[in-house]
Amino acid sequence: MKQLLEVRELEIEFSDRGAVTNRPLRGVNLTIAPGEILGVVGETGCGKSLTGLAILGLLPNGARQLGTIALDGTLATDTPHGAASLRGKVISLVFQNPGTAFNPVFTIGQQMREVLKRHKAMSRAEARGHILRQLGLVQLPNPERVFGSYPHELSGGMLQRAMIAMALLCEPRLLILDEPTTALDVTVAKKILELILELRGSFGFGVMLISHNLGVVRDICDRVAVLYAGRVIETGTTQDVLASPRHPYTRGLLGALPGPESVGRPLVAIPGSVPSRLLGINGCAFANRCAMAIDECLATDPILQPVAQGHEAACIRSAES
Amino acid sequence: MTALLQLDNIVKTFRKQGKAFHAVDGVSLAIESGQTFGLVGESGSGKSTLARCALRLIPPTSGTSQLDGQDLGALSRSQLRRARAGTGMVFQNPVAALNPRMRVQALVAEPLITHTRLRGPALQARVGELLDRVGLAAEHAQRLPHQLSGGQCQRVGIARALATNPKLIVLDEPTSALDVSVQAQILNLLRELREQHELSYLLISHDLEVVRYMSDYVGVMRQGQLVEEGPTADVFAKPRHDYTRELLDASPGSRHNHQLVASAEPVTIQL
Amino acid sequence: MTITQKKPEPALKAFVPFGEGPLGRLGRVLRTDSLAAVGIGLILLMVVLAVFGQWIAPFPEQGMGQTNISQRNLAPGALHWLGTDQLGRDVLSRIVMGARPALTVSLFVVAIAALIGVPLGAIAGYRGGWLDEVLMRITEVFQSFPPLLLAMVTVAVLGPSMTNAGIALAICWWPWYARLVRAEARSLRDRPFVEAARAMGVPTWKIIGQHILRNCSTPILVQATVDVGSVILAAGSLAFIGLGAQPPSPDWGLMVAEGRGMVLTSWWISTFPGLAIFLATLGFNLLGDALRDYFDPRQVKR
Repeated sequence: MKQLLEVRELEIEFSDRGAVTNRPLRGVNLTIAPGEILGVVGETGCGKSLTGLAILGLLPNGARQLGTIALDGTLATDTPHGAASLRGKVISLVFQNPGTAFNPVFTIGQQMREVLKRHKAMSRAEARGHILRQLGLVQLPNPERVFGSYPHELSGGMLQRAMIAMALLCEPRLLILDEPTTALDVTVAKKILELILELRGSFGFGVMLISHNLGVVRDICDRVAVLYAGRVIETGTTQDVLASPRHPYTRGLLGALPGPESVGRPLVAIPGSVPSRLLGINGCAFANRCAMAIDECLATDPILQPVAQGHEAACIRSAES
Repeated sequence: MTALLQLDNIVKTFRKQGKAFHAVDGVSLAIESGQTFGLVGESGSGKSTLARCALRLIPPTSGTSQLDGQDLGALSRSQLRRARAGTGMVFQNPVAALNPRMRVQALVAEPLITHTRLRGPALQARVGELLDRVGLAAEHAQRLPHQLSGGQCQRVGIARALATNPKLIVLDEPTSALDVSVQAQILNLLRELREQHELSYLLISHDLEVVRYMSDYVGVMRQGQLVEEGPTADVFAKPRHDYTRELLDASPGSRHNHQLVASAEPVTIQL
Repeated sequence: MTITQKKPEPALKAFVPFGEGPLGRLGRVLRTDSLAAVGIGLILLMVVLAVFGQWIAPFPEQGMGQTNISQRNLAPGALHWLGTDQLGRDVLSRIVMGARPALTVSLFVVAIAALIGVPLGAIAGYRGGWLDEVLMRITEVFQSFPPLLLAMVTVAVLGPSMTNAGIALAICWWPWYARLVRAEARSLRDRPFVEAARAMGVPTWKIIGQHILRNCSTPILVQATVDVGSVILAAGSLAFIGLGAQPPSPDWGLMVAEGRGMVLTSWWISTFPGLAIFLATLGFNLLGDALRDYFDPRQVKR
């Protein structure tokens, strides 16, 4: 099957005066099929947001990127202006905090028109009509009012809807959602997630949903990629990964979540914390926190291997569990 | 028997551009000794304000708060200051709750210096004991907050709250800024400490699963009012208020058995 | 394919995860910021002159005012590097000997201003309410006068002298510290760690000392450093109009004033003391910037 997005061996390095100081991504592999929702999960510092930024070509200064990012079979690096020319047009981004993602001194309508101006030749009236349609599409009750509103006049949920409408302006093929509901209340978050599912249904765009919340991922993702220390350590369908996780880290994340069945007994916490600097790791990056680690884990660097149909894990002991 | 913490009809009104706004609107509740009371609600529901009124960190507009039978509102400023030895508080943002210029040693010593006569080696020994109890090593004592991870900072925060052997600790979203694996560590620690020290917690959280896991009693707040209250198992199994049901239903991950995962196949673009 | 090939790791630089030590940081600021190095150099020079001036100056007794009428208005030359003034005194010696009073007065002024302004600002900012209103209205009264005018009035009342000029300048300067610290205190008082201290029952005076003042020490220090330079300039200005140091003391402002009638014929009499004031002010400004960078490692200059 032809993939919408194909990221191969993506590495990102930061260096200071010629010496590499950190390598937050150490070979990320992931794919998104057209119309698919991929959940990218992991804890702070695992590299999930950086992966999103790399796909958008928005890496901070001083970052060096290795590996390939292909969109619809075309390498992002082969397009005239790199990934930047795809931004907003083919790929769109929705930020975590809708309150700060908009510029406070312009109305929502003005900011959305700015996006259209850059990517599409449209008259003012056409643009306005198109924006109002988009605002209606994300189920904002009064598009005209939202169009003329300043960001501070809208609630967090409404802003996030407007943000999604803006991301969809140029009919992107891929939508990157970076923690889209983290800043919202649960009842509002639920409606946003429902909206995303519905829009995916009608437009068929692919979605990369970056989240630390396994619950959110479970609710709307088709497939999941679990990131740890700059690598995908497990990937597969949401059902497979969350119901029968094969990597100890994934199991740890699931065990750490309190749920109805954990009441009255200690949670299965993963000891230690995510390594802050990813250099000079020889074996498995998770080995020092892993209850299943053996000597071999410290020596060999595991890569993703199939453990079942469409389910891969990067653990040399994945077959044993 | 008197409750450890007894709140009666607490009202807190803020004035915003001349308009009165009831952040807390007549809440009464009681926490028995050794119990954990979980307060859930969305942002702006008044749960943090209620907790601050309970400890009289901000004075309520009306209503009383009694700690161990003592009306906190009737105390003078210095009496109230001394009464604070009987309570502890753990904050949402573990790094911001620590003075960035103070080392862990000094941070943990602060409540001890305030409320006890411990000084010198005895003080140091007590700080070391507290750090050990929350799972920090002696070497952490000389660190500054920005040299610790979020989870470690929260452990320092817990050590501070424990320092004066209080009976009641208010936990204001203690894990919402932390990753899940660290959250599990902190929740386990809080449960252990509760058993060892017979602590009572007033736990504020927007995460229903955290509240279910930790609490004996639950209160659901909405727009300044306590809309539902009861033993945790009852409230989660048979929510009586519509809003509680709505919250339970919206909790992430609760939906995978509902209607939502319907559209698995992508639909072709139709523009 | 089961195991990826290990790529050779590039050479790692020594990397200290928790930030470098204080000396290392100083080194980095000096290396990456040449202006900071210039500032520190100028200040070091001034301090050396202030401490060891009488051994450095070629004619220390002339520096202190001894006249030498036969050598009047000599242009810069081999014996008198920066020339002599209208009373035959060596200009270089007078500049060197002028460093100590200039530095002493400005340190005194800044210290007094900070001593008054910092506590008032901290209390006003932390407590807020009517106390804040009253204190801030008072600072506004002081600030509504042009500072030199206020200093002139004070000196006119007290009588012109170096000490009185210092007192006058301190009176003009403290409101700036009060306002600076008040603004910092207001933003700090709602920070969670201050609330945490309140929740623990820490007494107010300790919260102000431990939590408020300690966290605004950097802006205070930076402001004080820059102000030492500004006070040198202000004290010089007062001396220039005859309200500060009195002849024959070696004051830079006074020297500029003494030479101003002969700028066209004997330019060196005014120019070099003026240059000394300029370099001292510049030095403290650069040092202030350097301190800001030093204490805030996150804000790296590009």
